[in-house]
Amino acid sequence: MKNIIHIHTKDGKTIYRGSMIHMPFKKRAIEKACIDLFNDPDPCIIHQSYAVSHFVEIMEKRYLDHPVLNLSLKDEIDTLHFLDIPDLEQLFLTVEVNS
Amino acid sequence: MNPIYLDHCATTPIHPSVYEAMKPYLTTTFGNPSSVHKAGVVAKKAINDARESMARLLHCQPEEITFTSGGTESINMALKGLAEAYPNKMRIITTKIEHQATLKTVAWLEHKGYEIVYVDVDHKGLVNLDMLEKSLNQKTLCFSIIWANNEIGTIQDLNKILTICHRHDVLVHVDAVQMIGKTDVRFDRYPIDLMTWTSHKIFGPKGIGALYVRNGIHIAPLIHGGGQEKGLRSGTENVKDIIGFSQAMTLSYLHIEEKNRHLDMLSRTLFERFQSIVDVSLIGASIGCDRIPGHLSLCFKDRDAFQLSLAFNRKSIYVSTGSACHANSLDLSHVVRALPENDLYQQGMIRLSFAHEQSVELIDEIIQRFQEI
Repeated sequence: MKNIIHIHTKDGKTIYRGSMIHMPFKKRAIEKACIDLFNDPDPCIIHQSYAVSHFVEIMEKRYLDHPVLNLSLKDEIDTLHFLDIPDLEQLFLTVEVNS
Repeated sequence: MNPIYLDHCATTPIHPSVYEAMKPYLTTTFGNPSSVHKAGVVAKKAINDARESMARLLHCQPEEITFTSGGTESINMALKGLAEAYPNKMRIITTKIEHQATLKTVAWLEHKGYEIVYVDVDHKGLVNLDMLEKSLNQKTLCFSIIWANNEIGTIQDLNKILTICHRHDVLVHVDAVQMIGKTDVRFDRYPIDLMTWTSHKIFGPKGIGALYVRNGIHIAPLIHGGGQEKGLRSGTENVKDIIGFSQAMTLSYLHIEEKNRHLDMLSRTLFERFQSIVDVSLIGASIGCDRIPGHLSLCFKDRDAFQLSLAFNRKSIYVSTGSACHANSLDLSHVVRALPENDLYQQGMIRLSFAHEQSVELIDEIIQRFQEI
């Protein structure tokens, strides 16, 4: 089962479409996660990747256990603080499930 | 979701009986083994009993075993110690699939003027024995070889290697970190000159290892001080971990063949289940033949191994990759890069390693979670 994340505007214009792991993540959020997860202020690429994986895990738990269609991200800003996508609060999320 | 730990080649949990054996040395039996009073003497005897017990398993003399902080220190001690003791021999032979502890140590020696020769390995990771023989000469200090490779699981034909090296009067240092507990390591069967091993791969505590140096071979100490460990490794002994290490060694020598048969069954079953659903290849030697029992090193077609390992982690399956951090980018492991070129390997490799107490029922759960990735 592969899940495609689709972040789009209200009128359907695609801002991001792809896998969770390849979403744009804020560098500062990754650094902060590395401090939270292993108290490392200067993480190597392997540990940065682990932090990204941690973000993916958060999203998987929140969005993959039920159908998500045109979910307004206005109320998801705190959860998705790590995404490097401008004007996130004005966008919508749809999860496409490909078996 | 219950965690599934498939990284026993990285480390193992402490066995309950090991923990029980260590407990008194964390509480009541705390004397310094160098102290000449009852509290110290009890600790001293415990260390010597532990050393004797390990020597019986290995068929060697107790004084041939020196306790260290682990595999890395033992390897440093063996190679730098030999270099210091035999200054006229300035040539070291090894391979490019060694653990970094060996590679970084010989690189340091190279900087000091030593000639380092790397013998090729074939696609399974087996040493090219012709090249090995041709590389040996009177200036050769030693051949240092990883008996069972931690990343690709390949087990070298050690007796052939020993025969070749000894024919040329070249010493052999064996990194047996992954091999203890997987075969009946005995020095009457394997005439090894120096051997490194560690405790935490065999259900013992971390921070303790050992170096075997056959009587008659000299090494210079790296650490100077109070002269503990017959002057080879000064510093107050790590009593509780030595006791735990010895207990773990005893356990590791029990029912080896039975445990190995079970481990091979587990890895074969999992590999076949993966093969039935995805395009996957095994790197290194075949299961059940020149391969660490319970060890799988896998390439999944069109799947980046490092990202896949993180996906496994999100499913609470703990595996390892050969990926390395190089100049702040992810790189293939040095072991995979040392194998003859194969496009298959470009996606990297995942290592899964079982413990003998894991059951075949676990495999259904692994496959189910894998299919959700």
